[in-house]
Amino acid sequence: MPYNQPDPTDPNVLVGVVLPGSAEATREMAYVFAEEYARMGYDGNRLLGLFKNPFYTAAHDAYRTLGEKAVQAIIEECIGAWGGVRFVDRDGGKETER
Amino acid sequence: MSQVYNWHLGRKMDYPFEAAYPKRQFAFVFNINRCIACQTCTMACKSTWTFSKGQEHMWWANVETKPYGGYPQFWDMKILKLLEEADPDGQRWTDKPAGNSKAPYGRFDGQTIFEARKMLKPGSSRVLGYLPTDEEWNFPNIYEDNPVGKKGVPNQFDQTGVELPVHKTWFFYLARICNHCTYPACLAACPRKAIYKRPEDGIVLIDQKECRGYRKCVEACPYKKAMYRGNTRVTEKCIACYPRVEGKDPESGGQPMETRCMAACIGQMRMQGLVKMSQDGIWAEDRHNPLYYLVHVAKVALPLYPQLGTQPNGYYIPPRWVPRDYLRQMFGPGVDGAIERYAYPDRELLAVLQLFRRSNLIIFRYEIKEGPKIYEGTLRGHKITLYNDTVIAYGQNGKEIFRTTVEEPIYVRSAQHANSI
Repeated sequence: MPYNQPDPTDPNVLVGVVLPGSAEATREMAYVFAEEYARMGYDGNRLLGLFKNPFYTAAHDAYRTLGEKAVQAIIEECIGAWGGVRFVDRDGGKETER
Repeated sequence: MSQVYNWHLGRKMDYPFEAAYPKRQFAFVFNINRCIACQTCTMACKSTWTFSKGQEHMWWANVETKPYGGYPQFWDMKILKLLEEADPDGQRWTDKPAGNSKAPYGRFDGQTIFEARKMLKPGSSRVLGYLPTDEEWNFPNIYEDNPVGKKGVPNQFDQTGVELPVHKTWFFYLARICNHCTYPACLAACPRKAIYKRPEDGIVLIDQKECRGYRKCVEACPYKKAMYRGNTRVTEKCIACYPRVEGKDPESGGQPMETRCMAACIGQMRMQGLVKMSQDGIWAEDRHNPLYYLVHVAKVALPLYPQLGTQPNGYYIPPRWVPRDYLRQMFGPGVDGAIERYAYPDRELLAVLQLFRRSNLIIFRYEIKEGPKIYEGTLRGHKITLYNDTVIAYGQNGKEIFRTTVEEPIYVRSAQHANSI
């Protein structure tokens, strides 16, 4: 990561130059995070907790940029479309859903 | 110069040799959406082929962080800049992407690296290119994802602790190997004809006995995947793990097997195959070959910098979250349609995406057995319906390699055996 602010006169070196991230790109990323974790079986509360957690830097950045309401809506939409994950217990020789 | 047909560009283009196509072509699809840059592919390749003295700088397979990184540094920016200077404001696509397999991305009206003659130095050169500096080869992932210490205080830990950098914008990981191009620039540039494309599988190799280390191939390859070895004074490049592709690996049972970098991919974002070629250089229709399906039917996988003109055989499912202008430059005009279809996949695409990395053998054909509807929902105005279909993969000998389902249950330990190992 860079020491200095980007030099706008430098035609080649993108190292350390923060490209303008649009709100649209942030929204796209938020959808990708929410879909991925919805497919892994996260419920709404757990997913929102992930967005609120500053250690998930990119998700948290989206949370700060878009706001909780928008993130909540994205989470609900993604869980509605991709959240049908089954949990299966294979102990005891036969599979049982739980 | 001969005229050859480049279907990525939707037109004929100049190439120093007559067109000649293999029976099958080594090709691969990388799903960028899934790459986490763990570099397992990089190290699988390194520990197999480039671990010797004189190969320290060689990363035949590498993963770089875009838009910041590149190996060698700036490789894509530099060649794009040279082409822009050759054809100012002319590097444009016309026509829209269509269903035509001879011009699926429309038509590129700019100049390829074989056509930018006014920029060639000396004028006898055949391909526009440049030789990266030693420094550009030396640091494969410098400044990409790493934190830095205090300015002006090198080689010291921070006494008070530091915060890791926050990525304030989008980025993605681009995994790269040699594209084993249909019109290789390395082959075109070699004055000794030491580089050849195998007629059986289209793998591009450098004859180590013929090479004299002139580095014309290093200069010409726009993807910078030919690498000079100082202590032997010859150039080396990715060999597509051809013994595995030939089925000579003991593990393969005589069947074509995917390369080391593919097999090692823990993100399951890589699939490699051998696609059927027509005599005119287009992929022969092979509807149930997974690569043919992803590139020509679903059209979710796109070539890397098709405008360079080499007709590379590596295809990428573009990352959904990246601004489209950047992606259009990198993968051509097919980007918008590819992302639309990938983000809201249909029934067949969802099934084919399950084929990634379930086996190390090359899949030649797939078949889908329809399963029950599991659920449906709406995502951003698109209806998503999930069916638990079974997808079956077959090898070159027609035998089943594996079968898997769309729904992949998550298996959890019960409380009774939560820690019983």
